[in-house]
Amino acid sequence: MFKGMISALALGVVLTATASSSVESVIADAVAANKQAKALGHEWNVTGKAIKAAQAALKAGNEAEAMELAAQAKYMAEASVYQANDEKEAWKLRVPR
Amino acid sequence: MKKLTQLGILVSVAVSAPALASPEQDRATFEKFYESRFPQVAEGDFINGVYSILPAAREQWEAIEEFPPYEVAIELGEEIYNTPFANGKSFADCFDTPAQRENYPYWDSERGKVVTMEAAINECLVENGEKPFKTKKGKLAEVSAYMSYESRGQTINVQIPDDPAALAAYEQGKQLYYTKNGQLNFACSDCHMYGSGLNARAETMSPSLGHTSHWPVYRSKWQDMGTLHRRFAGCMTNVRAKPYKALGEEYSNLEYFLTYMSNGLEFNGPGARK
Repeated sequence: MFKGMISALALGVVLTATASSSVESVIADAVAANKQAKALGHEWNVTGKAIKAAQAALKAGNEAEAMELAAQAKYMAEASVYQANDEKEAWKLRVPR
Repeated sequence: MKKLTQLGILVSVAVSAPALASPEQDRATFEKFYESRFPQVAEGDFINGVYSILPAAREQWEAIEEFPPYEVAIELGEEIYNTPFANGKSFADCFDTPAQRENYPYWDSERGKVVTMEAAINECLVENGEKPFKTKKGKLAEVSAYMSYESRGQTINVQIPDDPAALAAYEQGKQLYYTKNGQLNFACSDCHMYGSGLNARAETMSPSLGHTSHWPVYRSKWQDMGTLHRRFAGCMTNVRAKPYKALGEEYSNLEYFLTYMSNGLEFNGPGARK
């Protein structure tokens, strides 16, 4: 019984640590993509705020919320990079003839 | 198959041609676009921005212009312009006359960059051992307001010299104008070219022809004066993009392109807008 409790607690600690590192990984992806967007001149003003919010939620121990915010930040950062690359040619179609 | 290949080449040329047009071809097409879209606007009247296309709003604006909210800024700007720096010199040692708008923006071949009038004001300060002004409002906008007022009636005549770097700066400004940015995925041209005359919420979007003629501007929304680059930054914020640095390369090149598009129109700054 006692051994079982110890195992359950240990598993809980492992799962929590895994969740934290998983959130940290998503935040790191978001930060890297946002940095790329900035270098391309396409950083969105909402991405940095979302990254900070995810970091704050993680620090406060709200991992589910942190993961959701981190995923949003990563999505926005990657979308801004996509926009930057797509617009390298797409802008020409808007020049009037 | 050969015909298909030829067709493909033709389509490719047709699509890419506008981006490769000369600045003067660009300007003629740009002007024609707005003249066709707003045939009711009198020649030269696009310098009045959205009021050139909204008769009812124009009446209110003309009433505001009787006691213009930028008047104080002109007076403060004149005082700053004539106040000696710590070394005894003043802006008059950098500019032969405050009526300088017609000389800006210009391509500085030696330094390989576009120089705007506001950048030149700050450069004058630095050259004389003074701290540069903040770049979007305050003293910079006041000196700019005074100099713009003194320049009223001058003709916009931006030159793009025979220098590949100057043309590249112009092209970068042009690219920025037509490039979508921000989470809302808007280009300047989406609102101020293809959306001009339409509404964004309660506001009518102004045409870009003549956009750079009347700066700096007293905006009721700001309750303050602001430079053209302040407005550029505001637009970028509105579409949820991170703004570029005022007086930096991006906005200077955008100003170079947009002002060139208005060549032949008059400078009529400073202005008052909602």
